[in-house]
Amino acid sequence: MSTTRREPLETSERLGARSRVTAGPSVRRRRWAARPGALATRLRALAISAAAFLLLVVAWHVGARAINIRVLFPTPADVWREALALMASGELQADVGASMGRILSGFALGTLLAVPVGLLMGNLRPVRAFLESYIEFFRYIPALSLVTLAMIWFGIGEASKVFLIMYSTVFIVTVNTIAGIVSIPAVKLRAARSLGASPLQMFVWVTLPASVPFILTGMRIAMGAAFTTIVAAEMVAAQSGLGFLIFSSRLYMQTDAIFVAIVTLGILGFLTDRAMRWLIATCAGRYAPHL
Amino acid sequence: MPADKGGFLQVELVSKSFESTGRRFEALRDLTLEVREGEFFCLLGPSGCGKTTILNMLAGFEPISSGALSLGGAPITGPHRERGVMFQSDDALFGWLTALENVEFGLKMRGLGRRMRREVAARFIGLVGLRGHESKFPHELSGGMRQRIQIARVLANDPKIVLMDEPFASLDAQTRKMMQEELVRIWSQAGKTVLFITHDIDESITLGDRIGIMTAGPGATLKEIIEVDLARPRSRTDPGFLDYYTRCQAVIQDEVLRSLGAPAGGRGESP
Repeated sequence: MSTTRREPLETSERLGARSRVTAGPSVRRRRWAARPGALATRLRALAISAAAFLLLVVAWHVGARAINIRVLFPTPADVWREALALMASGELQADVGASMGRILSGFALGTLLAVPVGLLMGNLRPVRAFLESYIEFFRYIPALSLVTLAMIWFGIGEASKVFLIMYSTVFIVTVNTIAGIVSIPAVKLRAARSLGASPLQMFVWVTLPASVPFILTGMRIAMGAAFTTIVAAEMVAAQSGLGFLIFSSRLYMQTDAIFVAIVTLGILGFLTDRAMRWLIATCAGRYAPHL
Repeated sequence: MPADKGGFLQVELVSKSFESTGRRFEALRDLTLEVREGEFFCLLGPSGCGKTTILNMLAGFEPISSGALSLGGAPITGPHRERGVMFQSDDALFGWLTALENVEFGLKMRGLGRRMRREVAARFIGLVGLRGHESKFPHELSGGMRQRIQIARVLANDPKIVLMDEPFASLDAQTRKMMQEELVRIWSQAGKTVLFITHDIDESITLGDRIGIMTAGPGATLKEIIEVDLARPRSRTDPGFLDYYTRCQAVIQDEVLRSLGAPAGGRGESP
């Protein structure tokens, strides 16, 4: 992004000041989106990514060939065949659906809880003082350590998985939201006050938009944590999901299927992050032009 | 020291002390000053003399320790839109708002309708020479242009006085010069009272009707006021300009030396 963005020069300012004929009251444009010349840069970046990915597959193939024990280390072709088989039976789709459903609902619930809590903590000193010790205590307890407890409390159904995902989401988003509020430059708040904003207006029109980039960053990190947690949760007690696929394949030494699940997780994580970035750029681009 | 009653902005025997790590530091002592309606007043002083502290108190961001502050007869108790502030840092702009929306901010807070806001903001965007850049975001504009937005934003809100805290200090020399010329033009068109804080003698003579020169801190106060009787726009190469420069230089020199020689441990002027 930074390579393509042109820094306006003082000369352009001079021009702007003198020539009053330039572009009239133009309709709001999405300036944070594609700029001229960005296409070539993006294509090149895409080519590099593709080459890197290809290299990984080749290295994997060569490595697997050298080891030459399929049960230990299948080749990409073996894994691809297994993936096709799992898709033909509909098993893979079902597992992906189950895992993503748990991830997204836990993530959504966690975020919905974390953002208001973070905003309250960031703005109100007493609330922060009260909740801070809880946050600092619980955020170092990994969701993995709660897997068994979650089973005992919420059973082996969906609730326990959603709870674990929510747990691993909530602290990351809260802490980032607070960080966003705390890092708002004092002059910004002072400017708003001297322009006549009331405390409530300050919150709505300054504090909230200024902390959006931090909240979004927190959400992206939290999504990564959600992926980490889901597998562990599904390994212990589940009848579906990618974690279940890994765990059940283990019993029959179906290494191919384990690889399919692992690669699928990687792809899903990548796509989810891309989707989030796209959503941010289209819905909240003005609040986070550099995300 | 002039203290004729009826000054628009009155600063009377104002002192300000800070408490930091158990030690008391007196930034200002018994400062008295008045700014007349419609004038361009420059407050000139060596760094660390508490210029920004004065501005923060006038803006209502910080309380005074003793004395009295008033604008148009009414005491100053906190931030208010009648005292517009232009900051040195462009962090003061709202990065998620376009140039036009930044300028509209104060009007929006007052509950003005969208169409009215647009109209007023567009006029002030024009006044500061940013027409054609209305829909750009601050990060897409140069440092000089960002300060222009700040000027427009403050003026669009129609304050009684504009407080400027070294607004051009972080610009490069060429841009700063141009912005000073622009400010003189904008000020003469907008007809607002301005209190402008600077450490730059050149800048104060270029801009000010009167220049108040501060003593060095701690315990800073007003040392002398110089009336600048030069037609605008002023040229640095004008003999009259040079005379004023020499006079200001003579007054401020001792203070700069004092501020350099003063025992360390004093508080920096920017918070």
